[in-house]
Amino acid sequence: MSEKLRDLHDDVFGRMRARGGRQWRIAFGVCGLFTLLLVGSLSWTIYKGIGVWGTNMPAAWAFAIINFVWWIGIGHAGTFISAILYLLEQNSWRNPISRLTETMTIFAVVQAGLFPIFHLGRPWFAYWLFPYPDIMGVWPNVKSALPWDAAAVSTYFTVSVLFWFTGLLPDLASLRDHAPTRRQRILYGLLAMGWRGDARSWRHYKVTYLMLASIAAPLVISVHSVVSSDFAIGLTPGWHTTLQPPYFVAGAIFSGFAMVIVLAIPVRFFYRLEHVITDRVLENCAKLMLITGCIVAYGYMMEHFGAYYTGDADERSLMFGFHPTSIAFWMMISCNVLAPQVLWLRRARRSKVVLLIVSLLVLLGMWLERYVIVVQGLLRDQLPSAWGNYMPTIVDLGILAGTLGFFGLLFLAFLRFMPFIPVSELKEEAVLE
Amino acid sequence: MKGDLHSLVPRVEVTRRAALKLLATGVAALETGCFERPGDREIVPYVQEPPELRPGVTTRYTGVLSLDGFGYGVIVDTHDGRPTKLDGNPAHPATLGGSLPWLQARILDLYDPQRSREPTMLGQPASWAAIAAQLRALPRGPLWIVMPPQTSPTIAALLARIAARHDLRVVTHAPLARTAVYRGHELVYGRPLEQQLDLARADVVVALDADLLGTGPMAAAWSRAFASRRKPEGGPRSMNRLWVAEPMQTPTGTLADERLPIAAGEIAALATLIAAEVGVALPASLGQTAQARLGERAASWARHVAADLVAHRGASAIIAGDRQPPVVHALARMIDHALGNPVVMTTPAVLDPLPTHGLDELASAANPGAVLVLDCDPLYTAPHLHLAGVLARSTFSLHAGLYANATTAACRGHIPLAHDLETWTDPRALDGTLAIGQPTIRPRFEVASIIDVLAELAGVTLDARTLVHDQLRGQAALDVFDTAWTTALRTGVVAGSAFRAETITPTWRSPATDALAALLAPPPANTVEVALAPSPALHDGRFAPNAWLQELPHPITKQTWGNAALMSRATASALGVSNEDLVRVRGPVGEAVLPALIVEGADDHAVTIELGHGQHGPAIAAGIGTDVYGLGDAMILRATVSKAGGTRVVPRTQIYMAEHGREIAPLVTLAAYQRDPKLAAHLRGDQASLLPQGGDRFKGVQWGMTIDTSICSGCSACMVACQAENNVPTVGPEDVAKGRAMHWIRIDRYIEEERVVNEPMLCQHCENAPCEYVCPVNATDHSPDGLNEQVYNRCVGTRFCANNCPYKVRRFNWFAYEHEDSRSLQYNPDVTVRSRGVMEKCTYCVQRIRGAEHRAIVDHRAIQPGEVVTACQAACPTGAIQFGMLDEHDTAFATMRASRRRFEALHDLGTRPRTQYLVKVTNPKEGA
Repeated sequence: MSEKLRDLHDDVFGRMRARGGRQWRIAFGVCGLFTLLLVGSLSWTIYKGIGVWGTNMPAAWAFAIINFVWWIGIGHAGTFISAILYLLEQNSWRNPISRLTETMTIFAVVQAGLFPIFHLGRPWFAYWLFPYPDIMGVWPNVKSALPWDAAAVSTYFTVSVLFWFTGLLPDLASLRDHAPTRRQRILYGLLAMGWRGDARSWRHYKVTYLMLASIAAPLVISVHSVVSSDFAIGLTPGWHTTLQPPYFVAGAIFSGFAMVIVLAIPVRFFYRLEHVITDRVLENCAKLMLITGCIVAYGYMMEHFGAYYTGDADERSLMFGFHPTSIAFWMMISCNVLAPQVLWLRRARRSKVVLLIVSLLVLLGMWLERYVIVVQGLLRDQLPSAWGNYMPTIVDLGILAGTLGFFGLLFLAFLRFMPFIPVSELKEEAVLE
Repeated sequence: MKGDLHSLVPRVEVTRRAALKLLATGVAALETGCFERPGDREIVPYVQEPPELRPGVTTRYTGVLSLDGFGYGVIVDTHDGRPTKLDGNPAHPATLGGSLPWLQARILDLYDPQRSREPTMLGQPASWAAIAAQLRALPRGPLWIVMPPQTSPTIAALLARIAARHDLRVVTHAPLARTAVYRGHELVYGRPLEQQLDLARADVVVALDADLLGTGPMAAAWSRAFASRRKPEGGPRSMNRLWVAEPMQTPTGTLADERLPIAAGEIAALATLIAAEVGVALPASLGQTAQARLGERAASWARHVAADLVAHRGASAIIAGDRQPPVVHALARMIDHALGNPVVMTTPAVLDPLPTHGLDELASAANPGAVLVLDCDPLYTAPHLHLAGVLARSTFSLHAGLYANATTAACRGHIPLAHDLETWTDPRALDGTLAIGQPTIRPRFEVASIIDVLAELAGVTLDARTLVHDQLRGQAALDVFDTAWTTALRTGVVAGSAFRAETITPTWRSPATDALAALLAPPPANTVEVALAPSPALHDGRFAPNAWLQELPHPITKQTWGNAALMSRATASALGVSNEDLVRVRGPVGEAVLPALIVEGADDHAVTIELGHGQHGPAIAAGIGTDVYGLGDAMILRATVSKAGGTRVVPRTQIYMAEHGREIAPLVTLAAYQRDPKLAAHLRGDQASLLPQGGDRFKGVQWGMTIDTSICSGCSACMVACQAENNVPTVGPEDVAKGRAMHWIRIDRYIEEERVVNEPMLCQHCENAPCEYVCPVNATDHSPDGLNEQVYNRCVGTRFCANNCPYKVRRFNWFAYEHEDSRSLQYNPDVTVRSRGVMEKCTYCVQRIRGAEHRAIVDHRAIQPGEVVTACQAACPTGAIQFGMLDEHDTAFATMRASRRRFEALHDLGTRPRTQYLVKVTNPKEGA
C-alpha cells in the first residue's frame, strides 16, 4: 500500500516539479507583457480619468462591468467543483482538478475585483462602499446593490482563499519535506504552517475543510445572485427582472466549466497528467457545461417571454427590435446555445479538440451575453431622445487583454511553484479504494 | 606658528576710503532685497467698503449688448467686481427680460483667454496711445471705415465730425444686415422704414421664411408677445394661428400650426399668390406666373392662408425673412395694407439702412487711402472680394476686433476691441429705444471701443463716457439731466426714446412689379437651391470662438461644433447620401465640402447650410465646420450638390427624434383639447404601488417646475443660461460625439411627419427618484423641500444613478473639465465647480433657493411666490419654464400647474416627477 502511495506521490510531484522549460518561459513572458499592458492602461485611466474609456451617456457602464461579471462568473466553477462536489462526494472526478479550479477561482476573482475599483470616477474612495466606522457617521446605502456586491465579492474571495489554502497545507508540507534546497525548505515550511501530518491534525483538518466547504457552497449561489441584482434592482429595460439571479448563477457556472476545460486540457498535456486528469474528468465537466448551457438557453427564452408577456413597450422593443447590440446577441446565441449542443454526443465530449473549441466559444459567448445585458438596455431605455451608441476604446481593450494576461501570469506562476494537483487527496482516495 | 595664523587673515588696510567702500557695498546689498515691484504700489484694505461692493453679494447693473448695431438691454450680475451672468433687462424692448443663446454666452467672451490682448503695428507690439496718435495724424485724404451697422447717436455724431476732416466713406458691412427689409419698404413707401410688430395683437401670423422667434433683433421680445397668445385655457381669442412657410425647420417652424416646407426661392411666388388672394392690386400676369410656378400643395396652402387672413381682417401680421429679396417685404406690407392691419412704420434705427458704399466699391478702389476695419471680419465674410489686395494698397490699415481673425493678418495695425461690458455705448433697439451701456469691469488689457477709435479720427479728446453722456444731454431736452442720466443707467433704457410711428401708406409701383417678375422667372435648370442661413448660435460667425455657443446643440438638428448640408430625406436619397456622408456644393463662385444631415420637415428642393463656421481665427473656432461664405454673394443661391465620398462625424446630442410609440411628448389640436380637456389625465397623478407613498419626508416649502411645451420654440437660451449660472463645462466635439455633453438642461425634440414637440429635459426631481436608491454611498439624496440633491464631495462615481435615471439627465465628469485660465473668473461663486469623476445634474438652481431662504430669514418673513427664479426660467423668452412653490396661488407657475394639460414624462414608471409639462396644443385651420 505504502509502496503504491509513494509511487503516486513521486509520480505526481515529479511531474509537477518538471520544469516548464522554454514553453513555460515564453508563456510567462507573454503574460507578463500583457500584465504590463494592464498596469499601463490602469495607470493611464487613473491619470486622465475614465473618459479614456468608451463609456458615455447613456452607456455609463460598459466594458468594466462586463469584464467584472465575466471574470466573477468564471470564478464560480472552482468553488462549485471543490465545495459542492466535495459535499456531494464526487471525489473520484473532483479531486484531480479541484486545486486547479480553486486556483482559477481565486485568480479570476482577483481580475474581477480590479474592475469595480477602477471603474469608479474616484477610485481612491472605493473604500466608501464598505461599512467602516467613520467620524462622519456616514454608512453605505444598503438599498443599493453595490455595497451588497462589495460584501458578497469580498466574502467570496476571503472564503475561497481560506478554503484553497487549507486544502494546500498537506501538500505544502510534502513539498517542504522533499525540498531540494534550503530556500525552498524555508519557504514551503513557512507556508505549511507547521503541518505535521499526525492524526490529530488530520482530524482537525478534515472538520475545518468540511466546514469551509459548507460555507463556500451557498456562496456559489449567492455571489452571482448579488451581482445580478446590480441589474435587477435597476429601472433600465432588460435589467429589471426577477429572472436575473438564477440566470446569472447558471451562466456563471457555465462559463466557469468552460474555463476549467480550457485550462485543464493544456495542463494535462504539457505535464503528461492524462492518467490523473482523465478523460472521464473532462467528460463530466462537459456534461455540466451542457446542463448549465441549457439552463442559460432557458433563461434567454424566459427573458423574451417575460418581455412579451408583461406587454411593456420598452421591454418588448428591446427584446424584439433590432439594435446596435443585435449582432452581439446572435453571436451569443450561436456560442452559448448552439455550440454546446454538440456535447450531447459522447464522441464530442471525448474529443479534446472539440471540447477546447466549444469551451472557448462558450467563454466568448458568455462575455457577449454580459455585453448584451449591460449595454443593450442602456442604449435603448425609456426615452428615445437619450438613445445612443457605444464603442470601446483601445484602453478598454487593453484592460481586458491585460486581465487575461495577468490571470495567465498568476496561473503560470502557480503551476511552477505550487502543487496544482491535490496529492494528499489523491492518496486518500487511493487508500479508500 | 604665529606667522602662519596671521597669513590666513586677509590683510586689509583700513583706510577712510576703504571703510566708505565697505559701507557703500553693505548698503547696496541691503537695498537689493528691498526694491518695490512695479504693480503693487500700496495696498489699502477695505476699512470702509465702497457701498456698492459687498463681498459675497451679487450686485446688479444694467448694460447693453450690441449685435449688428441693435442694442439688447441686459442686467449684469457681478460678484466682487466680476460680471458673472447676464439676463435680459425687463425694461428693454428687445429682450423684455428674456434671453437669446448668444446674449447669455457673451459673458464668456469677456474672460476668453483667446481674446486679442495687445495692440500691434506692423506685427510689433504697440500701445493704444501710439496707434491713437497715428489715427489723429492721418492725412486728410480718403478714409474708409468698414463696420457693422450702427445705431448709436454718439457714433453718428462722431462720423459727422470725421466727415468734416476726411473724405469719409463708411461701408456698413454685416452678412446678416436687414438691408433687404429696408429696400423692400423703400419700394412701397418711397424711403427705407422699419416695421414695429405687435405680435400680441395678431390673431393670424404668417411667417414667410422668417424665423421671427429664433433670430433677428426682436426675437426675444416677439417670442414673449407670441407666447402671450398661446393659452389654450383662455377665452376665444387666446390662441392665435401661426402659418410658417420655410425651407428648413426653424424654432418658429416648430411652433407653427400650419407649416409648409418650401424652397426659399419660391417664397416670392407664394407671397404673390397670397397677395392676389387677399385683394392686393397686382398685375394679373404675376398671379398667374406665381400660380404656375408653385406646386398644387403650396398653391392650396396660399389660398388657405389668404382665407384665414381675410377672416381676421385687421388682426394679422405677415413677416418675410431678412434674407428674402426686397420685393417680398414690399408684398408683405401690401398684404398688411389690403387687410387693414395696424402697421406701425418708423425710421430705421440703423444709421445707414441702405448702405451708401459697398464693400465691392472698397475692393476696387485704386487708391483707397486709409482703411479701418472695426468689429468685423470681411476677409472671412466676403472672400470673393479679395480685400487683402486693397488693404495692401492702402496707406494705413487698422483692424479692431475682440479676436485676431482673417482680416487682422491683412491689416497693418490691430487694436483689441473692448467688450460691450468694458466700455460706454449707446445703441438703439429696433424700435429706436436708446439704452446707455456702462462698463461693469475694467478691461484686463489695453483695449479700445469703436467710439474711442472714431473719437481719435474726429480729433476729439474726450473719453467715451463723456461723449455718450454729452450726446444724450445734447439730444434729449431733459430739464433735470443728471437725474435722468442716473435713471437711464439704473433702468437700462432712456425713457421715451422709441421712434414715433409714421403716418404713411404703401403704394405698389412699377419697379416692384419688374422686380417681382424677375424673381418669378424659372430658376436655372440642373441646379438646386442652397439657402444660407444664420447659425442660431454663432450668428454670422462672430461668436465662433465661444465654446458655449459652439457646443450648444442646434435647435433642430442637435448638431454641435460645426455645420452641415441640411436636407430632406428625399433630397438625400436622390443624392445617394445618408447622415454624415460628405457632399460637394458648387455655388456660383466657390465650392464647399461638408457632411450631409437629414432633417425631417425640410423641403425637398432646398439644401440649407448655416454660416459662421470654418474660420481660421482663434483656437476654438479654427477648423470647426465648413465655411460657406465663398459659395456666392447672396443668401439664396442656385448650386449643384453632389456626393463627395467619405464621411465626417457630426457631433450631435440627440440622434433619435421619434417617440417610438411612447407617449412622451403629447400633442393635440385645440379642437381636440376643447372636446376632451381631460386628455392628459392618464399621464399624471398617483400610480398603484406597493411602497409607501409621500410620507413625512417632505416638510415646508415644496418646489416644482412646469414647462409648457406649447410655447417652447427650442431656442436653447435656457441651456446657455444654465451653463453660465451653474459653471457647466464644455467638452469639445469628440466627447459630444461620444455622448458626453454636460448640459444640465437640454431640449429634446420629437418629430414625426408634421408633428413637432420641443421638450426641455432636465432633472425631474422625482419624489420617488430612481437615482437615489442605487447610489451606494448616499451621494444623491432628497431634501425635505423636494429637491433631488447631488453631494459632489460624497460621490465616488459609480454612475449607477445615471443608468437608473430614465430621463438620462445626469452628467458625469469623465475628465477634469474645470477651467484654470481666465475663464474661471466667470464662475458663479455660489456654485461648486465639480472635479473629475463625480456626477452632476440640474439642482433647480439650489443656490438661488437657499439665497432666497437666507434673505427671508434675515427679513423675518416667508419666501414670497416668484421670489426664486431659476436661470432657465429667467432666460426663457416665451415664459415656457415656470418654477415655484407647489402651494402658491395667483402666479404664472400656479396657473400652469393647475392646467388640465399637465402631464408627467414617463408617468407609468411611478417616479412622481416634480418637473411636469403641459401638453402641446396647436391651432390648425379646419380643412387646411
